[in-house]
Amino acid sequence: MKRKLLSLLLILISASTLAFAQAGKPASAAKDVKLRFSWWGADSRHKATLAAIKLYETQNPGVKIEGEYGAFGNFYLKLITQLNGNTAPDIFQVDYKWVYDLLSQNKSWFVDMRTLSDKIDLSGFDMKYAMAWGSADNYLIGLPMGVNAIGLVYNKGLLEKAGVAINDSWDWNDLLDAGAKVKKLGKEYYAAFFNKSYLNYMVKVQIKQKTGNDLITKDYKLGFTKSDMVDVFAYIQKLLDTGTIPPFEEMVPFEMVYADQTPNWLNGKYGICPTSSSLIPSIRAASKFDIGVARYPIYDNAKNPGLITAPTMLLALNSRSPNLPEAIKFANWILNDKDAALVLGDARGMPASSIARTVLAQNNRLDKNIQNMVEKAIPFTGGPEGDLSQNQEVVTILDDYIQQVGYRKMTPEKAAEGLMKDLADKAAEMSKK
Amino acid sequence: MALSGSGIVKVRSLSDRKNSMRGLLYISPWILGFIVFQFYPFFLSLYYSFTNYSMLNKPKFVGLKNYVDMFTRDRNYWQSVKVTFIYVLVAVPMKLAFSLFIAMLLNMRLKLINVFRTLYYIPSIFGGSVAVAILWRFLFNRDGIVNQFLSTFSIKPIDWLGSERWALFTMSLLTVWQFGSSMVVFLAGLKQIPNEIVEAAKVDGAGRIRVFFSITVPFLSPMIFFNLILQTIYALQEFTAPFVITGGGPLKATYLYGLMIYENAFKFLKTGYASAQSWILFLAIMVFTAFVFKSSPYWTYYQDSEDSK
Repeated sequence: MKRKLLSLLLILISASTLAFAQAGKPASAAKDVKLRFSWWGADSRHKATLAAIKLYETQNPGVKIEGEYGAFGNFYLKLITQLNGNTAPDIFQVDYKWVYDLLSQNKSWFVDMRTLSDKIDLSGFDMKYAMAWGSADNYLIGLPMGVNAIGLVYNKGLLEKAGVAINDSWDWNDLLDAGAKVKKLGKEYYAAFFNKSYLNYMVKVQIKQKTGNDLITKDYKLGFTKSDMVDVFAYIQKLLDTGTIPPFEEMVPFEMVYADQTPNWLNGKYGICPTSSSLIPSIRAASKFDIGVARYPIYDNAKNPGLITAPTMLLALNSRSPNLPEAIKFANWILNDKDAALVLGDARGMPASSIARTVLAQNNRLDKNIQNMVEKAIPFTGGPEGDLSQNQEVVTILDDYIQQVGYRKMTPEKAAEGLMKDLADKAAEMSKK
Repeated sequence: MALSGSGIVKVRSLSDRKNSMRGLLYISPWILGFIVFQFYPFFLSLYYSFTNYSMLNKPKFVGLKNYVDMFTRDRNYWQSVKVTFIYVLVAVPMKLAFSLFIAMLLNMRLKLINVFRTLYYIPSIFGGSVAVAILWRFLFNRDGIVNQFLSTFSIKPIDWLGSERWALFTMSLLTVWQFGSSMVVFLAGLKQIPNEIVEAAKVDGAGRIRVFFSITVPFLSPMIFFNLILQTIYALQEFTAPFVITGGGPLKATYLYGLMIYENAFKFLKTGYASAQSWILFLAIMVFTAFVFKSSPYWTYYQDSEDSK
């Protein structure tokens, strides 16, 4: 009898380990629908989104929405793993930088938003904008939720003290001039701080401004000549030589964070940081001094101003969702409903939907600084960055060569040569797919 | 059960077989877990290493292409191998030496020595985490505490994490800080050293250093052997430290092999390629382990073996 009990216990243990190993599947009860919605962001966005979800649930009894949220850092990795294992949420955010990679690998996993024109009100969206940033090969992976623009945020007091007159028509030389002026305040003061992604972005934008092209063009060729890239790398060296930006050794520990977490910005030693408009609220909250916003520098006579006015994120739908009709309904609501717009505010940047924008403007809910930065950038928009240039390996290759130049391991000439060779190799590899 | 020495072969009785069945049943949860979570993925990754699998689509067979590309066309492969080698050569001996030193300190008979033992073990429980990374950056920043401390000796601030020269060393301090498990093994080993021998040596006039090298180390050699293998295997696969502290930089100076596999698998979506890289790492670890095992009779000494000196 004891043996039989023991054996039964052991079988139960084995069975339960198997049971827990199964992926959880949403309950498909007849009336109660459960949706999962994932997004990234900071606390302010989480609060606003959760409030919006609550509002939807009270308006739609029987629907429960589970929010899965966190920081941007590992969102992409998590999403890929979820898609692979078919455990992705019903509705999720997608960054415009992932659109090409995701769609070129497997578009069947995402709903083409244009096929939903009868269920989702597309009238408030600039479809040209949506297609430009959210599609590849004519397949629209998601609808833009907010408009983000790149610009400069600066420490008013520091720039005044240094006698720097910042305005909205700066070119790249103006930045160097500011560097010299700020340096006079002391060794530890720097006019600007560029983290890793902003340095990467600066190179791409300067190339676009010089040549009108992306790094890798649509026909898998390099969009620039060696002398273009040598100029850009030489500019980086000038920024270092004149003390406009801190030496790389000092920047490296903070190369992955933004101004609101960069100690020397917070204690007033850095004058200017590039930023995207959606980060302004968190920067303003963290900075104990007055900040101002200005337009991003553009070369005189630029072929293409190149400023990125990308969507803050795209809202995408999981084509394998077990509750697709309900998910679509929720997506329509969060994108277009007036109450939703009021609750979400500018948590996702300036709303992309004109319906939401109007509601917020009427209620005085648009952050002036964000609005400013976006409005200053839009006339100078460079259009979307080429898909091929957003491939993660291409980004990493550029990062590596920027570091070689920044640490003075390579001259601009050698770095330009190396970069061109590696990019050409990668482009050839991509063209074979 | 039959005794092997007597040369008689006995057929296993029914109750013996029932016992074996019961034994298997007892460990069945573990066997199930092993098959599902280790055995199956292990061979699946071998399969993937011969494909161009990317996690977003079906794998397509590409033969040895991944292996060839790894050695000939990967911009970062040899840099990563070099960096990982240096890391292991620096971090493992440092960790073993340090943990042995602490173990010897904690072997003393003092009041409350157990409290100290616990305290010194605690860092090892932290593992790699964002909190630890922030701590490391805070300590080793240009205006961080370490540099402030050094400035009292008039040493100029060093970019511990920002310069190519020091980043790897600074990062390896993390694993040295988490020496707890090796320390515990050494502590147990120290306690087995027969006191009579040490006292006899002292009576014969042996100094502390002589006692250490002629008595302590040989008696500890099995533990050194064990720790060496284990810590080297961990170090060769280290991923969390570069991932959270330096991101592989600066200039790929801390681009350990484990981080390279991660980036290829999840950032560049070249999961098949990353599987191939993991298998090469596995082979390297096997070769190293076999080498150390083969060499062990020459330098390890077990107390309960035939000869005693």
